[in-house]
Amino acid sequence: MTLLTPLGLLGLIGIIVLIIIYIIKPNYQQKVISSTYVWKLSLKYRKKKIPVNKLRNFLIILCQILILTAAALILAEPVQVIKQKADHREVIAIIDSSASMRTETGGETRFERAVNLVSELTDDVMGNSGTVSVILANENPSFLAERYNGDNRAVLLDELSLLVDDDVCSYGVSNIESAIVLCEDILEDNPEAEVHLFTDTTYKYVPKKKNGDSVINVVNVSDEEEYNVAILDAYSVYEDNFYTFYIDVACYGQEKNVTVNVSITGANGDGEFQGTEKDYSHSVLLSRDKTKRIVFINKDLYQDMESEQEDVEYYPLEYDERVFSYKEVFVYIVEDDSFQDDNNFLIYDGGKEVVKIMYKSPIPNQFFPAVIQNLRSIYKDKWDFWITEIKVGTEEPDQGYSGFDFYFFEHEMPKKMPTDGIVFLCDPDPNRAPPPQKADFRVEGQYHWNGNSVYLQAEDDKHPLLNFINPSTISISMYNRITYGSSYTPLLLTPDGKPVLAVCDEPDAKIVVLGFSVHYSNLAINEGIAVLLYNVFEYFMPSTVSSNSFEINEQITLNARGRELYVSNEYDAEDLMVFETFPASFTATMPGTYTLSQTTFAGKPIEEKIFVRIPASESNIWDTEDALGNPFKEIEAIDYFNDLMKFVALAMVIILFIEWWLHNRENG
Amino acid sequence: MAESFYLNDKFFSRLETLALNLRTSLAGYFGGKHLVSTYGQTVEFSDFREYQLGDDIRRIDWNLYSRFEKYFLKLFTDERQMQVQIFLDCSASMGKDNPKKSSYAIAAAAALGFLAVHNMDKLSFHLMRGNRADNPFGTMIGKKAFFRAMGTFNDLEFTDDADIEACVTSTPDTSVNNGLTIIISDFFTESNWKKAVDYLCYKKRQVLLIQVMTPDEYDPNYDGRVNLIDSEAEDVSDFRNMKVKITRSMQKAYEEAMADFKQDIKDFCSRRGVDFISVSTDTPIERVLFGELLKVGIMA
Repeated sequence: MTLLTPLGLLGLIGIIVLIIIYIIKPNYQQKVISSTYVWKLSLKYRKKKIPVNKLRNFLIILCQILILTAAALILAEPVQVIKQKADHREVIAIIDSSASMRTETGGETRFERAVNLVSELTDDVMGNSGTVSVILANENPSFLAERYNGDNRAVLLDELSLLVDDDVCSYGVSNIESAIVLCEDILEDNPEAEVHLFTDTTYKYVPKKKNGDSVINVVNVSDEEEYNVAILDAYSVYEDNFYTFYIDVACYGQEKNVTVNVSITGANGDGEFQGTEKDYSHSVLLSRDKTKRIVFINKDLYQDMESEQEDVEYYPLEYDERVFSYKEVFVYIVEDDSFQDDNNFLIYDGGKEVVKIMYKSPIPNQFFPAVIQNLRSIYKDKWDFWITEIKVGTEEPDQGYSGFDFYFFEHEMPKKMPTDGIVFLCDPDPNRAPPPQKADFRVEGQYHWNGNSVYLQAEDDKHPLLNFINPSTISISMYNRITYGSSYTPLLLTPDGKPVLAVCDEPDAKIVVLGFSVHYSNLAINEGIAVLLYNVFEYFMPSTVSSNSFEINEQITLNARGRELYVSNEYDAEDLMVFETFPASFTATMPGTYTLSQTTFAGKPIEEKIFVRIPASESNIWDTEDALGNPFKEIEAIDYFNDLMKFVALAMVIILFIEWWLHNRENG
Repeated sequence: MAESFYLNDKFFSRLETLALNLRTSLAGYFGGKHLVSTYGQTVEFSDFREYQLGDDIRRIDWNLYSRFEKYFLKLFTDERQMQVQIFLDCSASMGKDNPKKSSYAIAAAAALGFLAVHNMDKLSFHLMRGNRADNPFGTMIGKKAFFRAMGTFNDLEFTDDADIEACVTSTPDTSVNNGLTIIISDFFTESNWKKAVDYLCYKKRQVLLIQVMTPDEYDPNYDGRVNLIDSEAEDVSDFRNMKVKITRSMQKAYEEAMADFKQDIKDFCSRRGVDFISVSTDTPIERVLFGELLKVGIMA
């Protein structure tokens, strides 16, 4: 046991004072009485009844001595030394492996420079019987080596060289704070351990120890010659029938005059015409460390603009340069800068997919076509709806209907159920035609409530087809009672539990059956049918990705309209990912273009692209942060929270002496 | 030296109406005013008995003879003079530092002495100090001698200790079956006073013990660490002194000790037919004379 404040033991002098007080304490008052005869008798009584009296007096002084001792010990701050000061040097090296560490000068990246410095440090420390820990600080920092000693010297040096050979440096951000947290255990065990951070980030404040030394030795591995021209972001906006392309560029480390190139593929194509290619170039002077926005804009719009902004440069597109549709836009800068990975960008549109819709009804009306038109406006950026209405009296082909993505039958049923698209059956009237073969449902007949309406209830209100639909607000007065097979899932029920909406989601059958006519329901009034059709499209034809541009290490959620989805990277053809359960997700660790390929259940091949970009913060290769974390958490705690126990001990001693003083005064 | 503030004409004039009520079995001396169980020559009729040879024929009741034709003698009560001894504890505990206690004891002794001489009894004061009891006034008969003695009572000194047993048993003029012995003390003594009482009972005397105590002795109103100095102690280191921390439990123990002490005296006296009263000096002396003593029957 060691005493942090040995002077606190001076408090034990109080015990001597206590004993002296007890010695001189019997300050008896003199009292002359007639006789002590009865008092002496009473002593016998008292002894007889309270035999522990003397023991109690002894216990009182014992307790007082114990309190004094405890108070003195609190003042002395006793601690148990559970570890001795290390007799060897211990080093923790944190290697920043963020994308900016890929900045290269003279054929050597910052990351390589950092690894080499760590290798030298390892040699030095282990050569003197020291211990080395190496933490690779990427998005999820981990130990490359934890407290390796000289025995593992060769192993560690090999691992360090593999970091360079295997190109381990990430393309994303690094979590330096987490890396510092990893140091805490080692520092708790050995507070003398040195922490070295090899990074390219400048920190304005680095926490210091009580002796003034920095807690973490920040080794900046950047080179003054390094600069980076970067495309930070690029996107298109459909304005006044033509696309405007916004491109954010910057140059870090130097002022540069660069040319921003835009190459458009599939420009102005449509469903059948593949479009042309268009290329634009624009030179721009980039001030050091300042972002500039380049806007390729329709000339007409540019002329209507009232003023220009300082950090925005416009490139007016002539009439023949304008683009109203495109497949992809490749933006690039040809510059021999220190960091090449952010010199290009892909904006993918892919063109609109044509969705063919068939509508057939023996009593044609404008209601459902209008609803589909409404959906067309919702999906105008995504799909091009081609609507075909089958005229009354047109016979169904013997092989059945095919070639559509969406089949809508109202008041009747096809003789043969289409298998290459979604089938929506509204009010399947058995009097007009029986259910198709292998339909897996049977229409029993029409039922009603004598002109009264009833409200529906949900069998499964969490089903995606019922999103934004409140079944209790939907009323019907008549419906076709249908008995469904096992491949159907009932969604809406009548009050007596009979299904009026069911869905079949089998690989070869995507069927929705609405068992009543909108004429006998308020579904048409409260917009429920439009929402239901929207849900049908979202459920059976979901978007593959939510966006076409992501950052490194961002989780990308995938959906598919077929059984499988293939994801491939342009840089690594072997890195082919196959997803079979949806929604699926993956994290892109490499920048560039990823191709998403799938074949829908109807056999339609679809190919889409996404672009994964370097985080804009990593393009700033001369980044500066405000503060670095402190791995000595407990030291901070001591600094911020003073130990009040010593004051408690002082108060105890003072109270003890006051008690003695009052007691003596009372007896005196 | 204790000067009693009770001894004045007013005090004694109030006692004129009282008399000592002694046991009739006592023999006493001829003369006096105490009725005894023996037959005497007074005019107060007591009983009849048949004539026996040798009886004075002048005492034959001829009226009864005319009725029964038998000789009956008419018997009359007898009145005797008693010897009253008053032993007064003159140790320091009775008043060296508490004049009120000594005054109270003197007043009690004087009152009882006055009643004795008022009834034509022989009276003697025995002042107990050390191992002997002084009798400075001798045997007094009549108020004149009594008041002469009272004149010097105020000069009584209460010093040293007193061995009640030795004092009582060594008194030479204690006669058998002829009077009352009163012991006035606080009985705070190591001496075996019970032997003195046994001695007096052996002498067939009527005995009255009066215990005089101050309120402080009944209920000590001091606490804390106290060096109790016994008034009979010769110096500070005397074994009778004691240092004690008086706490609530100690006070309770004192109360129990005092109660047991008094009960022990009471039980002892009860077994021997001895009268006993314990009085506090804050009780008016009149209440003691007209109350407590009347209650035990010694006063009439």
